[in-house]
Amino acid sequence: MIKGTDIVFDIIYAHPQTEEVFRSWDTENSCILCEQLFDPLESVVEKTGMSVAEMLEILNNKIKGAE
Amino acid sequence: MNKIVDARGLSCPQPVILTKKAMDEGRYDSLITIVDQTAALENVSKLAEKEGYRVAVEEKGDEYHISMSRDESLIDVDISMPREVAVLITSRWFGQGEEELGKVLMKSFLYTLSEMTSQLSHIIFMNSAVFLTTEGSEVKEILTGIAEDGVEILSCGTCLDFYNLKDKLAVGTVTNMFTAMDIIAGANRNITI
Repeated sequence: MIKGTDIVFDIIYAHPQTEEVFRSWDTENSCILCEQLFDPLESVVEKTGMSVAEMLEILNNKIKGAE
Repeated sequence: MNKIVDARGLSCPQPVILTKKAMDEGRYDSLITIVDQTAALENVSKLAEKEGYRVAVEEKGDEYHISMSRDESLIDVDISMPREVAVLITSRWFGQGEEELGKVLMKSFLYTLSEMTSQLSHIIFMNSAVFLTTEGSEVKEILTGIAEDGVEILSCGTCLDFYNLKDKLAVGTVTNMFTAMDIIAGANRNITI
């Protein structure tokens, strides 16, 4: 189960299927996996425009779907 | 034994993942990861430092050769006492009763916390308690000192919005209910007032 304080890289390393989720949150001017790879997930909120709870739901569903 | 990770043409996080996998094999005294993007250079270097490797970078044309060698002295070991207490403050005044007494007690409470910061991980301010972390607060200096000791000061964003204080936050950062409850639930001990 991913938490808001987890580091983006640790999430991707443990759950490679989440990489495409992070990529889907990129915008024309920002790349989360380039600029915030070692930041906690909750600090990505500004880039995605979503709440931490929404991001966690998407990521955790992605992980569950792959189990 | 040395290992070369050729990550040319790959964008983040792939060069970092390949490097981490090589590190996790544990068979190599030193690694060289070759990348051709600056973001990959920065992120592989960050990984290496985090994992306790000494880093040297050599630029060769459009490529960066990142040499990493194991250095046990660089491994980040926290030998301090665990910070295990999270504090939740839900009002600008301590307890119920006279406002004047509540103010005095809150100042005293925060001052006491400032004397035990080595045990604290977070102080979370909810509802009217956000007046304590914003401009005009009588306890701003105490909270600034606590924050400087490494305690995370968090104020509820919804509450700051409600009281029109979002632009006046003077200490710490903004949080939300999910994160706050995650911290409280994950703390070994917590204090709520």
